[in-house]
Amino acid sequence: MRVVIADDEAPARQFLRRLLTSHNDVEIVGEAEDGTEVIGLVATAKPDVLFLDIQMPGGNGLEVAAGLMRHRPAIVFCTAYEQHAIEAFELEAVDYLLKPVSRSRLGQALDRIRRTDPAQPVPKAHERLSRFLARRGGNFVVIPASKAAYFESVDGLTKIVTVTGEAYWMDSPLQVLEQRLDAQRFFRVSRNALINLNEVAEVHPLPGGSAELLLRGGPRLEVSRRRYRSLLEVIEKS
Amino acid sequence: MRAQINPHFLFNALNAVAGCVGSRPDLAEDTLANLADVFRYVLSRSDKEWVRFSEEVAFIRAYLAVEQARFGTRLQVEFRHDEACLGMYIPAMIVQPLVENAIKHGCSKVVGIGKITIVATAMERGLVVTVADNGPGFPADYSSERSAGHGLRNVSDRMRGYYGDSRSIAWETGESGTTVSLTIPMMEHRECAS
Repeated sequence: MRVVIADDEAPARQFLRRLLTSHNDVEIVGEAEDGTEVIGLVATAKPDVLFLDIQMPGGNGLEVAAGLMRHRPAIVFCTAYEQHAIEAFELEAVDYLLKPVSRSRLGQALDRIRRTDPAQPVPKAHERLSRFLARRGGNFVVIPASKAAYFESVDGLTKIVTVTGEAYWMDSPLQVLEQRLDAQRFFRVSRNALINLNEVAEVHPLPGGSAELLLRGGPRLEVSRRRYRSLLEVIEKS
Repeated sequence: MRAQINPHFLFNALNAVAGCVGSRPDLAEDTLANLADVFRYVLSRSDKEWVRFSEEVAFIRAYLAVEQARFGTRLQVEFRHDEACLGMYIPAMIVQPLVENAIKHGCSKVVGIGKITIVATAMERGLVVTVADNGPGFPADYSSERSAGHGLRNVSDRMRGYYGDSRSIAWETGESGTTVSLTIPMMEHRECAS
């Protein structure tokens, strides 16, 4: 299995690296020191397994795990803190190791990964997303789903605009977001946009069967002809 | 009310020792010795609530050395103090929580090099200790009253207990860092002994 180690402390990375060398099927394909670097490295190295520290600069481990969607390795949290375990499992972590980890405990975590089907760790469609990790400049921020006004696909990236009008970028395709968000609340109005229904202020029908939406914060978005009728149905039901 | 050291400090330190024991055994040994000094101080303090500032300085240096073993070159430390400070009496572990905070909420959140600067100056009104970091600053909704158990709250409560005044702590915080300053009133040794 191909492994990435993410920890901001060099001795901690070194310790894991040494423990992992006694497992012949493990290949370490990269190491990262902060949240931003982890996301980049996972996207390029596409590891099977990510050993992830929680307290890190530039996006902590929980935020990183919440934000990995396009390529999602099996995640093993590795931390000195016990209190994040519940949240870690909500994020579908395979295991949660407490530092310093013993050889036998690490072996158990690896066995657990070996037993799972390597093709499986894609997030399950029914698992609802309640927050996202999005980027603006070099910083990552966590945005609760309730604060998202709409998502727009722009040049292969996804722009998220919050209810207060701030724009951030994320890596998840609209299709994945649509599957994993609450369908009562988020609606795909066109190929390029997914909106928060609570943010709809006005709907203006246009000639030809499409429409234009005005959201509370002021942005205007086009509703495709194909989606317009079901949008009206969803709005009436909610 | 007594100060406590964060237990995660121990777990992270042990993890760092485990990490360098093979490649840098000298650093592993030094870190264990520093860790022992830190815990000796923490554990013995109960029968000796007042200490000379020089003892607190030695303790903080050992504490910082352990943190530097964890973070390596990512943590830069500057520690300056007047000679005149060293004999002054202060409540034990009154400065350490400020250092712990500066690292945990400041330096360790910096991508790149985190810096902590500790300066102790003997002044007429007492011993003034400032602890500055280049971290992201306090959260926008920070209030020392609401975050019970927080390091600053703890120090401020202890200061009130010892001196009847908690106004001795002040801070400035912004996106490029935080500076906390603590003014410890001058005490005669015999007052402390009581």
